[in-house]
Amino acid sequence: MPTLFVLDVAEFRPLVEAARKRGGIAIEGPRAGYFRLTSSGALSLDRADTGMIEAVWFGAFTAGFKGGSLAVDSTRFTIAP
Amino acid sequence: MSTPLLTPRLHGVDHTAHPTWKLRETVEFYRDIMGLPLIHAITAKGWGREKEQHADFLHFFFDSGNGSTIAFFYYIGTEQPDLLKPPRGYMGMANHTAWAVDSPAELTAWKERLLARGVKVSEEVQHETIASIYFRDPNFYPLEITAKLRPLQQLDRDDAALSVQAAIELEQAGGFTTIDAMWRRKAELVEGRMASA
Repeated sequence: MPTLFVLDVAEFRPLVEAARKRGGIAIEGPRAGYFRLTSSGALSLDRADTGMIEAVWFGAFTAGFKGGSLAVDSTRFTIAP
Repeated sequence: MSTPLLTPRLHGVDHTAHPTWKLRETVEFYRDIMGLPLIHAITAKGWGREKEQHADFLHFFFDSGNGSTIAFFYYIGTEQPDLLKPPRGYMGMANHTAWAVDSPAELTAWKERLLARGVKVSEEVQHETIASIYFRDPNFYPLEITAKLRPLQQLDRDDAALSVQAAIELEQAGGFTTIDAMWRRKAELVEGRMASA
């Protein structure tokens, strides 16, 4: 199952908020400093929905991911099933 | 009775030092354009290192705040070796000096000051916990001025330890060629931390 872990700090929390607004993404945490975002299908978010600038966006996966391949560009990221 | 040993700690930067073959331009840049006071200059006959044929030199220091200085060596009558020419490209920029300012407003003030004096300056770039501007001195040395956006906390330390652990494991195993591999290993470590919380 595509999973993204998000460090619970101010600069990465917009990812969690964008996932909450999008729906269809299970959000667990924060626990021990991390959120766990999971989706039954592909897990994808648009950068525009997060308001994150590129310098932060491209480092926002630092807590790790599980699932298929990760595709990231300046517009969106997708973790394949 | 023996004296207990002090725990060795560092208390910030005293100075960094760089060679220069552009004396006037370097002094004008740091003293006049940046406005850093020239607070000390050593002029010496080598270091007394005759066997090494150490050049006579100037070693001069500009005050960069909070007790720190940026210093230069000017080796008289020498030419810059190719190995000491700052490389082009992003990898060469990793070797840089970053000065702290107290606020994003002060960062903007620095950008305006440098631009007004003809220095080519980057946009203000927000990183995860800092915002920075980037520019070069007359020696083409990369410089940065940065403002903290938030204090680092215990969670940042814990997360850094996990990142480095994951990366070292991959480096030791060989074939560490993608960040994706590291992020997959990091996910396992984070999951373990969450499970044991």
